Amino acid sequence: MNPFPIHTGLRRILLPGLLLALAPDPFLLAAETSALESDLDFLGSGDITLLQAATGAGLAWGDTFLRAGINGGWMGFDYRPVDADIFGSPMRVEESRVGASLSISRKLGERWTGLADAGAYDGFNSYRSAWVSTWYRQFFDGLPGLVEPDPRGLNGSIGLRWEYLPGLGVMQFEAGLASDEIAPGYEEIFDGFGGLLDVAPLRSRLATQVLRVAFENVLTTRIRSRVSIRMNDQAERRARWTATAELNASLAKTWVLRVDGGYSREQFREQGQGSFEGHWFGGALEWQMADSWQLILRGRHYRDSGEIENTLSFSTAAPGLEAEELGIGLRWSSGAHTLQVGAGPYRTRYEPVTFNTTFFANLYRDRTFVAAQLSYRWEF
Amino acid sequence: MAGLVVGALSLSTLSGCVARSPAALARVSQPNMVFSQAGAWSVTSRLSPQIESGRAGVSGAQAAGCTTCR
Repeated sequence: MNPFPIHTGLRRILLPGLLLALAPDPFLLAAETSALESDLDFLGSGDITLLQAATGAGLAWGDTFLRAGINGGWMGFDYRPVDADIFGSPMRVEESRVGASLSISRKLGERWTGLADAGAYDGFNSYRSAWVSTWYRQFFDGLPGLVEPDPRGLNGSIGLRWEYLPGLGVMQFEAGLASDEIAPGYEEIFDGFGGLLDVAPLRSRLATQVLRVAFENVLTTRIRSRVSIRMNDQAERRARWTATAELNASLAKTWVLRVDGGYSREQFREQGQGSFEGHWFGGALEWQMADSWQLILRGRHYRDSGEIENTLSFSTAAPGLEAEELGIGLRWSSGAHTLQVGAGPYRTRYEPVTFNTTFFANLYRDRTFVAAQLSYRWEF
Repeated sequence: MAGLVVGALSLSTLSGCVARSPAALARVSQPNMVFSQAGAWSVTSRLSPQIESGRAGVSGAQAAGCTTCR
């Protein structure tokens, strides 16, 4: 018999459906020029290594702009169960992910542009999902109902852009759908004496609807702003609302300040049972120190209240998180070529795990990562 | 949330005062003043949303398992 009673009926444990979030924010006022782009990102601590790469090409052809891209990710981490987990054992976990995206925009008139995009991925999108999945595989190892996880997903959206003040103000509206196949949670099946007979996988497919409206404006001859409001709605949950604001200011001919912030909120299904709230803000100062060289200093702070959970005995939900990131970067730009490198520390601090989440104390422990990025763009 | 919508709409009305000549817009048209999706002109972290659920924006972050327990 399992010595740790697990609340039965977990419906959704692992949602790798971050693709919508990982999709880049759209151009609004920026000119769409033909270009080839490649990005490489690294995030690593002592026991976790994350790599992500993407490359894509955009082609402007008359009134149409087409962009196709491929992306991939790799993660490796040293899985370590808590001492109380008598079924767990340390192991090295490595997973990879591949994806592709295609977007098209076409002028529909002097001020209107139609937008559409689609994407697909195969693999874990997050090391947290892979960590929790590893816990399930070890905890229920040998039971016939345990399934091999195969996370993957599709998404797409359509939208409309309205340039209500040519060159100065744009509004963009998008509506999207995402379907994610997730690594499921499990319901335990007991015999009449309380012994664990088997497990049954729970919901393994999630559908998400997304609505987003964004405004970009040139406020003065030195300030540009962008604000957006996004609603993500998933079955069996209330909608999550996210608002973001960004401001770019040209302080002097060789100095640019970029600030941004955001707020996210999701009310629990039943009133009075809490909510998820998160907020963040950051800034970057860019100095043109020579004709082709820019120095970038940046910092960011993030805080949330912890993911929503209502179980009495077991949960995989992350506790409240506070995180900070600092970075220094260098950008070289000459003619059609731009190269940017950057690196810095990224620190995460979680609130203590509770009895419900004690199995994931090693997942949700404080860490200091090194974050690094390398990006290249060639316009043609 | 209503305040955010009003704020966004208010911001959108401020552009009307700006001169539209290319010379006047030279500063705000520099590549690092534009909200570009190109990584080479962006300073946004692309891996941290794996950890920061709020920024990820997708309801039910990947490990928020028990929101619908029976």
